Amino acid sequence: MSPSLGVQVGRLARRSITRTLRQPTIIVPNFVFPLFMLAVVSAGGDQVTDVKGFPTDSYITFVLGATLVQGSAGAATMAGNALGSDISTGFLSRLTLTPIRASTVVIAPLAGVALLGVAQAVVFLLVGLAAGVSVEAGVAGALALLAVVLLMVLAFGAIGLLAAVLTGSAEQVQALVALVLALLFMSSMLMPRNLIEQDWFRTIATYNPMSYLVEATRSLLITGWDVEALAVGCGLAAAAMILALAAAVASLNRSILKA
Amino acid sequence: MDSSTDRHTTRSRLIPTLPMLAFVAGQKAGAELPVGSQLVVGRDAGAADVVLDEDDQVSRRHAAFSPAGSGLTVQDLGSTNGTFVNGRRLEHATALSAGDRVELGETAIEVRLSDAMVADPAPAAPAAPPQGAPGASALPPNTVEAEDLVKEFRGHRAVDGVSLFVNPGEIYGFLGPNGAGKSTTVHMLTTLLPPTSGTARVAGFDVKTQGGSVRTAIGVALQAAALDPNLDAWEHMDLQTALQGLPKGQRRQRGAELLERVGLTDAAGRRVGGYSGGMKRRLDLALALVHRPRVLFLDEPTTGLDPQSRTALWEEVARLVREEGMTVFLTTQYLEEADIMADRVGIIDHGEIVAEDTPASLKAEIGGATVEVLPLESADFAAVSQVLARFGELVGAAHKGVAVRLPPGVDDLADVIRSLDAESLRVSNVQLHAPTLDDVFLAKTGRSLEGAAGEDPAENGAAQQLTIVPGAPSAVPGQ
Repeated sequence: MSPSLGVQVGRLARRSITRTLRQPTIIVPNFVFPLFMLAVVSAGGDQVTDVKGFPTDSYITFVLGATLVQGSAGAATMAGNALGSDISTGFLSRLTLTPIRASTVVIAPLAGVALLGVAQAVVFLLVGLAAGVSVEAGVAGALALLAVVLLMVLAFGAIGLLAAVLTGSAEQVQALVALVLALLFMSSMLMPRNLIEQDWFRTIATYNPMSYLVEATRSLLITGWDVEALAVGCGLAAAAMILALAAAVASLNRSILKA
Repeated sequence: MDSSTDRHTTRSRLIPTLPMLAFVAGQKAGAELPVGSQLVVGRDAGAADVVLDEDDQVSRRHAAFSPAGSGLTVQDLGSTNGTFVNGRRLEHATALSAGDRVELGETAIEVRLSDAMVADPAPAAPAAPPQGAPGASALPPNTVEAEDLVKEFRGHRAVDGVSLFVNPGEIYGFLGPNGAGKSTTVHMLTTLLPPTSGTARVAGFDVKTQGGSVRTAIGVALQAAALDPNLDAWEHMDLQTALQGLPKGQRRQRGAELLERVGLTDAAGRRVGGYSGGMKRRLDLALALVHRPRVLFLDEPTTGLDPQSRTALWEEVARLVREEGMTVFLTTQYLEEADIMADRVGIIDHGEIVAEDTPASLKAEIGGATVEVLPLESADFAAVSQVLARFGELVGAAHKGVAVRLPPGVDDLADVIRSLDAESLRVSNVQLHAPTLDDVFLAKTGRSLEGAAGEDPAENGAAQQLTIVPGAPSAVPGQ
């Protein structure tokens, strides 16, 4: 007898959260490195706010948006590692041999990273508030910020899952760390796109989707309710999540006989 | 024609084509039952399909009858007083012929097989449930069938036309060296890998088109214990019982029952990452049994285990077959495991089955014992070969020596040693060993099974070995 969809999702999500919380060596760096980056970058950046047209007087407020994206990007490796590990240990085979949907098997690892991602965002926001950051969109904006971060966590997590399904290896998923960091630094993380002086850098930042994720989170901190920035950032994240999950499930369905 | 007539016509047409059990003595004397799926006969109304509750000599679950291909097999399920076929007590699953008489307690059953028997064990022609057979279902038999199964990986044929049939209640040993195609075959049979070509049916279901039904019917323990090191055994059980769809009220009980059976109750609260290899294997097996599968696939279940853990696992597998009538498909690269555990063995090499039969029959095919001699001087190789050729047929040697197969019934080393000594040929090692499955593999492929060459021949009790100190005169074993 097949378990109900609720049981499938619930049990696998619980397992995902349990295993995530039991791996402090994975959790701690996800909290520490973005905060470390926030401290280093914001410490030397106050004079940047003097540049004409810079949107805020507080550089830490400006950078916090990127910190939130960096934290959520950690979901890619976490989810990818979790699924890659299940593939290499054969645990995924065990799951696919039960009468549950392949999509549930693939998507469930997102539960743990979603929980962790939101927890990270809360901590980053609290640290920012303690350091003088204000949220222009108010309390509702702060809550919206957490929702945006959750969406990004799910998007990055889905990309990690796809990488794991395609490579079948937790180790190879680690390559995503370098890619994510490179994309983040080549975005509008440190400077608004319109103020980037080098043409080539501005061009890359313009075509780099990471810029729009950063700008969506940043808009709630600096601008208030910027619907366009939120729509573009959230739209990109949602599209990435849907495409990556669909590709991962299709790939898994191709490789096993889920008839 | 109304629907009831139609159903009656369908049953009338199908029943005579199925194997029939005619009860000729005992409680059900006069009854005739078709066997369309496995039929358990026993005293317990809750555990048997055919209940013989008035016969004290019949065990709770006494014997199981199963359709197999176009015939019928019977298996004793560990009964106290035994099951007898034509007066001989059953030791393992046995194919029945028309007219065979099966006796259990005071009950005697005559087997009737029709020429127009249903050859396809698929559920397309289910048997009508026998009268008074609670729980009798139209489940197809616990068989494993493969027909010309092929799996290619980028042009390389890992499995090259494997065809096999595993009877219900049988332990089928799939023996071969690393890379022979054992695990790939298991992955295809368990729906984890789509075949490149060929067909396979497991428990009556097609692995390509009825994957869900196959997965419901099977339990699988793959080569590496598929466990999450961050969870404990209880959490594994909880997850597995829930995902297998067990009702909430039964999950804890079933988990506890299985953990106790594999001896992990005390360790069940510890995270699996700290378990030994044997404990992981046992938990893996327990998880594979959660949903009471009818066919169990074990992919090299004892690789890397210490002898004690290996024996414990063998005992559990034997119990599953004996008491629950499970069919077991066991891959192994250990000769001893195949020899001890398997009712029948399929030997696979380079993706092809090179031999298949019972271990005893395979070894009997080989002939008599083999004497293998390692000359002290490589220059004496030809001379030693000449001497040995007097005693029988020269065969390939597993240990870089010269080997001769003695005629059946001849197993004395003394004559061989004397002949070598008479020719002043010095040897560093002489072995006499009874035919093993390695000899079968050697005979079929010209190579020794990987790993077998390193085995201590004394461990399986099959060999006499005489190691001669270089330079010392030859000696007769035992002296």
